[in-house]
Amino acid sequence: MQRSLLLTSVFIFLFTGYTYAQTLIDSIKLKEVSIVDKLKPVSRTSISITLSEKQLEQTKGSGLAETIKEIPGVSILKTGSTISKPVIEGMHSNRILILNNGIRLEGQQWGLEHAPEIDPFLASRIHVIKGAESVRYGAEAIGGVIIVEPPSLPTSAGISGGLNLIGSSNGRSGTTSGMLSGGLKSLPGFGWRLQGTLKRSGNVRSAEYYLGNTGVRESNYSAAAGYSTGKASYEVYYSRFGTELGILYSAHVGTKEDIDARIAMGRPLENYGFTYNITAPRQKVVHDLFKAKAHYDLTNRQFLDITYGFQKNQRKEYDFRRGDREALPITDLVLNTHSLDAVFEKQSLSGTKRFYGFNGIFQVNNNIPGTLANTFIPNYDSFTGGVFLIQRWLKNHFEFEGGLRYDFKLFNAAGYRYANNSEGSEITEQYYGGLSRFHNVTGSFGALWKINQHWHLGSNLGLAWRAPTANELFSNGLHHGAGLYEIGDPNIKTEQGYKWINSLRYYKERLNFTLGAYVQYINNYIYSEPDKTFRQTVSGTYPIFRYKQTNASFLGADFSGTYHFSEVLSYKLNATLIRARDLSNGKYLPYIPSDRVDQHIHLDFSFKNFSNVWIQAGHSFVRRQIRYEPESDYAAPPGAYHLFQLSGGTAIKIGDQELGVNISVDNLFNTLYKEYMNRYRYYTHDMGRNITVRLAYKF
Amino acid sequence: MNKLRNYSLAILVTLIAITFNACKKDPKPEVPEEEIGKAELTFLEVEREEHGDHYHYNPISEAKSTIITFDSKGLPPVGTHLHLTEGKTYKLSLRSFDFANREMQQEFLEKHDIHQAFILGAPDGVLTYVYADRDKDNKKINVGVTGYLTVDEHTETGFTFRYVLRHLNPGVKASIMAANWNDINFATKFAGANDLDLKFELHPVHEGAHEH
Repeated sequence: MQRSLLLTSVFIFLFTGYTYAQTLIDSIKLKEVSIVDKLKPVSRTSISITLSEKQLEQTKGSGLAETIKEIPGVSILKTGSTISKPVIEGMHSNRILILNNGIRLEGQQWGLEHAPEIDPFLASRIHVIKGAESVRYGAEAIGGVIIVEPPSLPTSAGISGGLNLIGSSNGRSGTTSGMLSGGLKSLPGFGWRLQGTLKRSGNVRSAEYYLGNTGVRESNYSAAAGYSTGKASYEVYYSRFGTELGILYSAHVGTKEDIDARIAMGRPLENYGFTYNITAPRQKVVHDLFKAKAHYDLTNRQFLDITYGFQKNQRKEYDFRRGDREALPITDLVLNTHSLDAVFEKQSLSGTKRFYGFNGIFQVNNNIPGTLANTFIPNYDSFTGGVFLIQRWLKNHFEFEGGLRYDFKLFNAAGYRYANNSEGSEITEQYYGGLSRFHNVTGSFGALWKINQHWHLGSNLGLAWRAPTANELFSNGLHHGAGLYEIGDPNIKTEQGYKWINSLRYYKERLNFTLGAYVQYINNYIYSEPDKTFRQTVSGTYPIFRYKQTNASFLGADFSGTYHFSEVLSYKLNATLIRARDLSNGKYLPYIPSDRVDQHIHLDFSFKNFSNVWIQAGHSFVRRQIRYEPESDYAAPPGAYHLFQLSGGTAIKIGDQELGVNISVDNLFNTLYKEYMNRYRYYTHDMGRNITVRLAYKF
Repeated sequence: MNKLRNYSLAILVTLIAITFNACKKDPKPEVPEEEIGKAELTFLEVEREEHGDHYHYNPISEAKSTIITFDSKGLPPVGTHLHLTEGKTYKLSLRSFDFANREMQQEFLEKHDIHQAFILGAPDGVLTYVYADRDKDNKKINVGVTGYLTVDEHTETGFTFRYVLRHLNPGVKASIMAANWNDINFATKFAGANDLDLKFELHPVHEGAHEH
């Protein structure tokens, strides 16, 4: 029977190429009693950090990238104040994976101005894996994996929930988010959950001026239901993430002349007041996700998980356009993704575990006709399939995990573009595309050495890969609003990353710290840079950027440590350092986060009837990025800066219920600063002081 | 276990159905209208008549217009070199064409709150330009689809005359005066992008000068 199940799974894989690895539920069988426990969906040999529900409460109301930026080694790639992408040890976009409730997020991640479509309110925990763990999670996990984990579904009767109200001074933003979950007395094992978030924010302010057109609207909701029997559990889940966000007026640039002029000013000359209105340039994104999952206990030590996911990502981008065309999207894309994952787990009496996995993704990307603009990426079908084997060994003081994986990808693209070939020739319509095939073998090995109860040493060596994205292969056109003309290369090969990451952890009563260090070599690293030629159009000349490949190295270290002076007073220090090189050309790589140190003094105490009051004062120092190539950037990186932060909160018990109050002041001294990792640093400063009040009611 | 097999088969059937039913659509060519277009600048001599603090511009019946055409790269025919005469005034008109050769300069007038042309390249004191556009209510507006260009002085050699029609960011137009018509710092001061950037060689000459 087991063989037939496996054959069925293989058959599914061969036909459709779906599935990826996942082990959300670890089960331990004790004769008649089945104990199902939800463990960290991260291997113990992975180098990872988890943000708990309590930690997440302190940043609620922020996007995913802001939520996890406190983790050393994690930074943010921003496009103005409204678009933030997480960066793990220098990698972002298609070099990191985001798992939303066990399904890998599939949007148009290739765009630097495309933020992940996730509502962080859904998360009860967020895990960030810093290793290159393609074996378990699939292609693109070159730099790391972000796992957004919702709370477990209830299995018994009763209703519980929570309501969050958040208001921020900068942008005058308001956010409401609620969650309700329960079970049925008449149907033990059944549980449900409803969740929703509404957010509205207007123009944000730098220390000295408003940033025109930086409003955001967000409307997200999700529903989940699950049923557990003694030997099986089933879960269905649906979520919708919808956002509309403005793009800073001042960053809209045309020709090289405009770019130079705006950079020379370094800040907008126009004065914009406060408004909630959002006009072009703007983005409107809707992301639907459906998931169905089944878990079976086949025997006492054999388990099978099958997960199907469907995602529909609709992205419309509106730009300044002639006449009434601002109502027409300049980019209108729909990406449908089907995924199927099947993982068979076998445990031995000694605690050794083996995972066999099949996984695949089928994607269809379509441009919606009628944009009256050059389509930036083609229509395509993409089919990715992978098989993997992971073996885990447990010893008294050691844990090992090794894995092997094979992936293939078919990418069938078709598009039209207008080409402007030679001097004096007319612009002509060209058909392009075709079938591309990619395949790769990846492997990983991780070890955890529990030296004693205070010291743990972890090491993880991973080979990860990714196929080139549609824009890297085929883009050929004016990137509206960015003032550049991008040209892809259909001959670009797959990118392979080898990452060796080590983590030394120390835990004792007063002191605990984690020191991580890594070295990563990336073969065929894909990047774009200006080729020093220009495209002449009726509206002026634009610099041409071409996609190229090189070999790159990343070397870095992250430190996070806390010292408890007493039960009341503690001090925390986080530090991050990255050095990246283009090895083939002996150059620096762009958009590598500069050195950063964050420190906090934290007070925990009781005050009258409030039993758990906390106050925290923080300071961040970010060095100027001095490792850059002047000819590949419009302007030199901005200077170093210091930011200060103050926050505090308490939880008030009202019977069985709890009301959490939390106030934070970011950029306490309203410092005027620019961050190198903000793509709009040329044209504007970053956000000024922001006071946020968070109320969280749990019942 | 039979149940399990049924579930697996159900998923298999669903996936096969999805695989065969959902494929990319045939791409449709999009015409990138903002990137493709042609333009014409027409120079027609008029009579400038002083009326107190302003001028009236009267048609000259026998005047012949000179048309400079620009291709989709904003370039004129090779060797274009226009002579305008010192002391004379010319009505300068723009005709802009979309990808299908339909005239579209009216769009700039309809959205006059975000469009303005700049006349650049001339040495100081050589040219004077006055906007002469009207909105649909016949109210005076400054766009530069129509204007009057007076040649105040001749130059020894030609220079690159540049007509830039600016698509301005919201709120920027309010800060532009008519006197900014030749502001070389337009890109710095008046944020936006260019809808048109047309260049050709212009040589203001004194009356009676020979063509060359």
